[in-house]
Amino acid sequence: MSPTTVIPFGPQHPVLPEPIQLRLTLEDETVVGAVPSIGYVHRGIEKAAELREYGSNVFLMERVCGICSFVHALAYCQVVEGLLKAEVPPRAKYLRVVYSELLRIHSHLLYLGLLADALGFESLFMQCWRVRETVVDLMEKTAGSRVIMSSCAIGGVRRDIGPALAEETVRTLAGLKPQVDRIAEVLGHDYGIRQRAIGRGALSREQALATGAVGPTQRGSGIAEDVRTTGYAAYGELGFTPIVETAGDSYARTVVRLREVYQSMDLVRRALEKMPEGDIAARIRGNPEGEFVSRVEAPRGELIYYAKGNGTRNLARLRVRAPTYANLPPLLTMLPGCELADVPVITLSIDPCLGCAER
Amino acid sequence: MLENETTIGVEALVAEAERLRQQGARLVTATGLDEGDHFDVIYHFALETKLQHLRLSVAKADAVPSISGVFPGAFLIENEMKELLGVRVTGISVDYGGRLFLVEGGPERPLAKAGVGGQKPGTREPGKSNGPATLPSGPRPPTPDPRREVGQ
Repeated sequence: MSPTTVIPFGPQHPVLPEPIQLRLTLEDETVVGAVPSIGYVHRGIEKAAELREYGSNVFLMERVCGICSFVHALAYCQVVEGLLKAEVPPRAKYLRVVYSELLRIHSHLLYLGLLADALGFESLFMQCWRVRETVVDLMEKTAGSRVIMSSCAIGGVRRDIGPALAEETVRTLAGLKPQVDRIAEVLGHDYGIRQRAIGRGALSREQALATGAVGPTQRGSGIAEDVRTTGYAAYGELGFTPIVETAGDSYARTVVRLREVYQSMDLVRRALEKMPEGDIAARIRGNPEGEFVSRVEAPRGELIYYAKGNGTRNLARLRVRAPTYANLPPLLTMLPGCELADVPVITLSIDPCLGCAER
Repeated sequence: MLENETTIGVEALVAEAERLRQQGARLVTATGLDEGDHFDVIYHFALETKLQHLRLSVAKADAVPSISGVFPGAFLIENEMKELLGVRVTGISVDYGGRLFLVEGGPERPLAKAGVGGQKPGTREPGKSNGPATLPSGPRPPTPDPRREVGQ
């Protein structure tokens, strides 16, 4: 047996947009164990949420993560609406789907670009982010901001999308489809990408379930679980089937995200076409009391908010579990047996978002 | 009280977790609540699209057994609950010794409630005065051994 060596991977590494350290145990070049060290971007947001009035927490929760901004606000608004037993107008539910899916497209394109960058495929990286730029522009046009959308509110949404803007959104996304097709062609056929992703970082269906994987990490291992199937917001009226791949490797997780880009484009179009007329927000009164759990499907997977109200303006407790937090144990299952050179791409393949995970 | 919630005793936790695992449940997360004289811990599980919750109440001095032997992914959740709230979770597969999120010299148990009975955050011993938070002292605990494979 070869002697073991422990080396730190991160917290700063070219493939990591955010800091995490993996302490890797190696036998020669083969990884035999890994332990994560996190805490570099912990901000105590759950505590901060207890200290502010529940209404102003929307802005705080949106800042848990820049990439997933809208879905954090949505999960928070849903949990408060659940405590207050508030009903959201139907039009607002459809607008929430539109904003959530625009966010998913931009997040998945960001991932695809980062993957290309990690593989040294700079032109593909730039193509992915060029397409993403158009989506971010759409977010700015519809919500008013490119990153922190601030369009979700307790009781509904803050901004409406009129017929002209809806038509422009659908037309722009239709124009993006051929560009995504070209990215898909490269991802599907490039020898280097396939060599570095297929068969690497395998996570079986059983392992995914045992370690609690969520989102594309889970669906890439053949588990057809997606919170959107529960029908929150307007998903129940739009019809939705999760995208699943079965290989369980880095490539399968990437293909799930690529296919979800198309699916999200379709969901935006259908939501805008089917969106009923009416108010975009209900007037909410009272103070939250009791306990409630809200779940949404963030781009990286299931995002869950638990809240406890005590009848005052402040919540007694707010708990946030982001998808990357759930996907760290599966990552530790993917790594043993891989070569050291594969660690960056496998780590990236769960699309880690440490800002979300650490709060 | 949450929908689909079951209240259990501390002694039944590991067996209940094992029963849910055999049914194909996924551990979603756990939430610790400081209820003044005791902690409530809610374990959230997903059975396909449905959530199921196990709630237990535990005196602040009492220990809660880790379920990381049943659900390997529990080790981060349990370390966090122990570090940020002060729940005494024992037998965690990888114990960070209170240094998962918090740094040396930082606050202790920031999610614990002040002034609602029990031990105030920042104090090491019950019954201490309401003075400023006690900063952790001594060397940083050893980093967990990476050769102990996690999540396998």
